This record gives sequence, structure tokens and C-alpha cells, in this order.
Amino acid sequence: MATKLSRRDFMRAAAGSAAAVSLAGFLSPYIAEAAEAGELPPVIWLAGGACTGCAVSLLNCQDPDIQDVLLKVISLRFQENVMAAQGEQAINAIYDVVAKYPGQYVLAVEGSVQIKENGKWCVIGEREGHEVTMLQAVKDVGSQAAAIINIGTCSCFGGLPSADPNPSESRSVADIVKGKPIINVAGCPPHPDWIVGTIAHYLLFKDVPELDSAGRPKMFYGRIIHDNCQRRQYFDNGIFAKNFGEMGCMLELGCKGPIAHCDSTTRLWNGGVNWCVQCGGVCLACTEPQFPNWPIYERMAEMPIGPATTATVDQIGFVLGGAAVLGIGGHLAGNIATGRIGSKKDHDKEEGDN
Amino acid sequence: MAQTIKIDPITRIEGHLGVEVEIEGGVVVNAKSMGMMFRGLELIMKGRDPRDAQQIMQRICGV
Repeated sequence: MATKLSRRDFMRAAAGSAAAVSLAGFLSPYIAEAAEAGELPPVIWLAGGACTGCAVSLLNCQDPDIQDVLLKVISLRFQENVMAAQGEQAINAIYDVVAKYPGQYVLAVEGSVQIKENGKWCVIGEREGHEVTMLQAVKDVGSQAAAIINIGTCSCFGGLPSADPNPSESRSVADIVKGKPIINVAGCPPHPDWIVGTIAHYLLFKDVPELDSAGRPKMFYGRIIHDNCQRRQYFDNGIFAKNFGEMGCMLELGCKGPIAHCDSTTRLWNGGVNWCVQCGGVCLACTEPQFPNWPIYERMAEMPIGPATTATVDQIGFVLGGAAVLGIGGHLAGNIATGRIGSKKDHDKEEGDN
Repeated sequence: MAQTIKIDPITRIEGHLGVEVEIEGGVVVNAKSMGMMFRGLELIMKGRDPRDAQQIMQRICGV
């Protein structure tokens, strides 16, 4: 039965699975079958300018048990946080895979690649008396990989370490390794389903899932937070929260939902318990390439959409080309016109008076 | 005659850690530990809204 899973079925399951249905649980028999057939390529997980939050997010994968994923489903040959080997023995494990399975293994990268001083800002270990920098490792391992899966916004786009002024000269993996299939599982951190789902898709179909313009799998990043937000009705009715803990759309408090692509609104986190906005926080748009190069708690009336550029919400809508976002722009403009939202200046003044 | 043992990376921890230990006659005589990664999050915080600190600085460590 397991082998009959078509790519279309997979996409449908991945995009549709909400809190009640565990994506990983749905996929596990298919993956287990592939594992038994000995068809699973080795995986090397490198961490650079990372906080290990993405690895911890993956460990939060509840069904199937993460222990089963790591030991039975994928052949994980190097992962600093869980592996027993250390020192040169650990580093050798990376290069053994590169030598034995050229063009057949999958490289997962967490964290940015720091290129300052030839990579000395991130040294992942020592081999034969020489430092191995993250920059060197990504070049060595990435150039021989079958595919690269970037786990988290740092390896996808540079992320937090590359925020202005980018002290460590952090780069995305795509800036370092060229000509390899790269999948960006963005997020700070990404949801375990997005990680497991993307890896599973690659393992089952030996191919990259359909990607959006930022290289993210469409099955998980095809929707905009604002469209499915539980507070959307407040936005449509022009009810805006002025302080945290109040009823209302949190646009004025800095919510970046209108430009954030992911399905947190329906998938929910921590085993389907809650998500960022439902627990009273603003969306940071952590899956977007520009994260966090904007004032996090200020209204996104003027957002940076590229180096040294600013744009209104209407223009962002135009750039994204999404009808939904255009709608937001129009709606927002309407709200401003009717005085339901003050202009940015007025808002600052109000805040100053408090 | 001192013997030097160097272990880099130390695994099963968060981050990039290396340790160098000098041993003489079965006794540790010197030891160094090295944090091998620097992102400069403090430098990123410079000039930003103070409220951003709770989102930026919590990402020092995700464990």
C-alpha cells in the first residue's frame, strides 16, 4: 500500500494536514517501507552560525517519535547535538560519507555560513591538526551532495546573523554552493512537519518538491498568515489593538502577517496546541528572506522589500503579486482614509503621549 | 613530559565547543575551552528599538 503514494497525494496531505492530522504520522509507513528497502541516502546535518533552535524544533516532532525518525527512518551520519562521536572522529564521519557516497547523500544545513576572515568566525572542528571552518565544510560537503535542504531562515537567506550590520558576514548556503538542488525550509525555527515533510518528500520521490520564488516548498509556504489569521475578522472590521492583550488585529503593534508565507495558522505548534498570534504575539514573518531587518514592533506601513528600498503595503502587494495582499493594501488604505487607522506619524505621537 | 589532548568539536551540546587539556604524569596541568563561533548579536542590536531585544537576543541559543 505504501508504494502507491503519489506525489499529488503527498502534496495534498502535506498542505491539508492540520493540527488534528499528523503529517509525520501519515508519512511514517511510507518512509519505513523505503527504509526497509535500503533506499534511503545518508544525511549529514551541519550547523554553522546557528542557535540549534531548528534542531530542537525537529526534536519536537511527536508522531512518529523523533527517536524512530533518527534511528530507523533516516541514516543520519553527522549531527553534533545528538551524535556520540566527538573530536576528530566526528569530523571524519562527515568526510567518510563524502568519500563513500559522492552525489548520493543529502546535506541538511542549520545556521548561516560565516565567511569573514575566510570562515574563521565559525570553526566546526579539527581534522589532521587543521581547523575545519563551516565555510570549508559547506563547500566540501555541498559540492558532492545529491541535494541540500536548508533548515531555518539562517541557512536559507542569512537570517538573524546576517541582520544589519552583519558582523560575521553571514551568507546563505545558496551563496556558497552553486548548481545543486536547494530546498529552503524557512522559519525561525521551522515547524517539525515542514522539516520532516520536506525530507520525506525528497526521500520518497528522490526529487525536490514544488518551490516558490524564495525556494520554499509550496505545500507548506503557499499561504499567507494574514489570510487565515484568527484575528482576521478584526482587521476586516477595522478593529485594531493598541496594546498587547487587547482585542483586535495587531497590525499597529507590528504584526507582519500580511507578508508572511506559511501555514502556522492551521498547522499549529507544539503538537497542535497554539501558534504565535493565537497566544497574543505578533507575527514576525520569520519565514521571509528579509527577516529580521525591520523594526519588529512597529507597524508595517513602510516595509523594506530589498536593499535600501521601502514600500507601502500596496506596493508590497504589487511586488508579491498576490491578489490577497493587494486586497489588504486596498483595505488598509481604506481604513486610513476613513480614519480607523491613524497615519504613522499620528500613531507615534499617540504613543509619546501615553 | 606533558601530553596534549584536543577534542574539537565536543558533541551533545549546543554550539561549537573545543577543549584542549595538558596532562603531565597523569595529572591535568592546564586546560582551555574554546567557543568557536561568533555572530555578534550585540552589534546587531545597536541602534535598534529596545523592544526588538526580546526577539533578537533570545535567538542566541535555541535549546
